Amino acid sequence: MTEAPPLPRPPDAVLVHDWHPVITTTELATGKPVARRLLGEDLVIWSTEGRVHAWRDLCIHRGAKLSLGKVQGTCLQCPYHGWIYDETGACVKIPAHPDQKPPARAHTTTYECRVAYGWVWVCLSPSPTALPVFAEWEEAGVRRFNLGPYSMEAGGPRIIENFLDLAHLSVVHDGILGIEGKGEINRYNVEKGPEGVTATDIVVWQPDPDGSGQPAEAHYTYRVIRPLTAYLQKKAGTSVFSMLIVATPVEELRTHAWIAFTMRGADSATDAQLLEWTDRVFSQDKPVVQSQRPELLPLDLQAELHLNCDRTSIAYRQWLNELGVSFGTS
Amino acid sequence: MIDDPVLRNDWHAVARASALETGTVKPVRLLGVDLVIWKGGDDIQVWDDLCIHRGAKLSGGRVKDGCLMCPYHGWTYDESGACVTIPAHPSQKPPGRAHANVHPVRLAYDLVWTCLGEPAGDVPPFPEWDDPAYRSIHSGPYPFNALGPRVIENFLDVGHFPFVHAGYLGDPAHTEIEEYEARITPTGVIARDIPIWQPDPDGTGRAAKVLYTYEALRPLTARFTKAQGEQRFSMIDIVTPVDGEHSLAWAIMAMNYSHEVPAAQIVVFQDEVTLQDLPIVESQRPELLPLDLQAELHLRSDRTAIAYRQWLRQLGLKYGTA
Repeated sequence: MTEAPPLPRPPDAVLVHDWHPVITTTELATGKPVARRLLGEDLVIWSTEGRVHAWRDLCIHRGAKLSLGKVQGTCLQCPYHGWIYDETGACVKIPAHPDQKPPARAHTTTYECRVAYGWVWVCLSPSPTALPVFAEWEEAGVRRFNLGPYSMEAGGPRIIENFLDLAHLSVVHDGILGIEGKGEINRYNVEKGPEGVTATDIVVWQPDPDGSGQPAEAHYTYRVIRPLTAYLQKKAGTSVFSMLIVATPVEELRTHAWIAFTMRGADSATDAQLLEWTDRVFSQDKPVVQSQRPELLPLDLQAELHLNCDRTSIAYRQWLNELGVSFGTS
Repeated sequence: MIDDPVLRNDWHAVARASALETGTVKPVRLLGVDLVIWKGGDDIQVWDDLCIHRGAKLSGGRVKDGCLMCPYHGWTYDESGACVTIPAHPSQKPPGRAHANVHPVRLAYDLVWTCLGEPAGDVPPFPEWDDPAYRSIHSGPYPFNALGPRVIENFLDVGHFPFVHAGYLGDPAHTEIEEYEARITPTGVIARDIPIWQPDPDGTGRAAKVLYTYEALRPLTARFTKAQGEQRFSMIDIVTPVDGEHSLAWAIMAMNYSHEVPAAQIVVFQDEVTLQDLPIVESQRPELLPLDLQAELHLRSDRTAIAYRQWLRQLGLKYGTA
C-alpha cells in the first residue's frame, strides 16, 4: 500500500476548498508538464490520454521540480534521477535500482482536478465546494469566449470587488460601459445569504450596449458565487451578455483573472469585436486596481468610505468576513 | 555578514587572478558582504567595499599612483589599507581611523582567495595543478540561484547522469548504479571507484565503464577523478557562498591525456553539462539542504550525498542547510 505525503498547511482555510482555474485546456495539449502556482503552492499540471492531473511540483527524492520532467506514456518522469510516477502519484520505477520496488514513501502529493469552461481547475483540499456553474455556457445558440488570464499584481478580493463595481463604468470605461456625465447609479437591490451575494435591478446608460450602434439602457444582474468567483448578466434590447470571472490567487497579492463570457444575439457585433472590447475593458481596470492601497481588502466597513451605489461591495465584504477569508483581506 | 561558524574562517574564491590587470577595481560579494578587489601594483587586495567617511563604495573608485581612491571625496588608500591623502585637507595627516577593512588574500590555482574571519587552515588541495603530467583548464564561474550545499550535492551525485546529461555523461539505457562505499574521513568525505557506464568517456566515440572517485574537501568544495585505464580526468568544484540566495561555482579540470585537444573545446563541453544541471538545481525545494535524513528519500546509490549531509551536520554548517 502506498502512502501519500501529508498535504502542506494551507494559507487560507476557506479558499483551499474552492476550485481555481490554473491553465487552459489548449495550453496543456502540448503533452508537456507545466508549472503553475496556487495559494503560494507550486503545482505541476500534466495530462495523459485525456486525463488531467495536478500534483505538488516536487519529487520527494531531492526536491526537484517535476514540471521540468516529461510525460512517458501514462506516467510522469522526474528530470533529475528519472523517477517514474504513475497516475495515482505512486513512484513505480527508480532507474538507479531498476529491480527494486520503490519504497512506499516515494509518492507525490496529488490534488483534485476538473475541466470546465475551457480551463483546468484545481482544488488543494480533498473536500471541495461545488464547481461554479455558468449555465449560459451550456445553452444552445450562444457564442462562447475565453479571455486571459490577466496577471494582476493585486489581491483577488480587490479584483472581484472591481468587477462588481458600478460607479467606475462611466469613468474607467467611458465610451464603452458608460458615458461620462451620465454615470448616476439608480437604487438597486442587494441580497446576501450563506451562498453568496446577488444584486439585481441595476440600470446603466451605455453608448452601445448591444452592438447596434445606439445608446440605450443596459440591465445588469451580479452574483458573487464564491469568494473569488463572480458572474454578471447584461441585457440590452434582445441581447444577453453573460460573464464569469474567476480570480485565481497565485500569491496573496498576485492574481490571475480568468474570464469566460457568452453572447446571445447582438449579431452585428463580430466575435473579434466582442473579444477586443472585453479585453480593452480589463486592460483599463488593471492599472487602477493595481494602484489601490491598502492592497488587502479592508473588511472593516469603517476603514473606507461607502456610498449607496457601493451596496454590492459592502455585501461582498460582509460575506467574506462571515466566511473567514483571510488571503487578500485585512 | 552571514556569520556561519564554519564558513567564517574558511578561504573562499572571489576572482580569477590572471584576469585582474594593474589598475582593475571590481566589486564582489561573499557571505552577504560587499567587497572590493583591486590591483595597484603587483599585488591584489580584498577589502570591505566601504569608505569609512560617508559609506560610499570604494569599488566605484579608481587606482591612482598605486593607491585606491574613493569616488566620493577622493580619500586615497594605500595597499595596506591606510588612508594617506584626504584632498579636502591635503597637508594634514589623515586620522588613524581612516583605514579600510582589509582581508587576507591568498593566490592558488589562478584564483584569488580571501577569508572574512581568521583563516583556520589552507585553501583546499588540488595537486594536479602543479603536476607536469596534467593540463589544468578553468571553466565558469557559473552563477547559481541556489545555495552551496545543493550545488555541491549535485556535483557529487551520479544517479542523474543518464537523465540530466543523457548523451554526455550517461545514457537512459544504462541507469543502474552498482554498490559503492562512501565514508567520512578526518578531512571530508570520500567515495572510491564508483563504476559508471558512459557513452563516450574519453572523446574517442567508444562507450565504456569508468571509475569515479568523489571527495568533499570542504563544505563547499568537492572534486572527482574519473579513471579509464591510465587516463585520469580530475575536476574540482569550488562554490563561493555569495549571499543567502546565490552561489558562484568555479571549476578547474585537469587531464593527463588529450593535450592536443583545444582547451576551448573542453570548456564548451563543461559549459553544456553545467547548463543542464542549472535549472534542476535552481528548482530544488526546500532550497536549504535538509540535514535530517528523514526529510528526503535516500537510496543506496545516494551514499555519497548521505555521507556529505552527515559530515555537514558534524561540522555544524548552518549556511544553506536546515
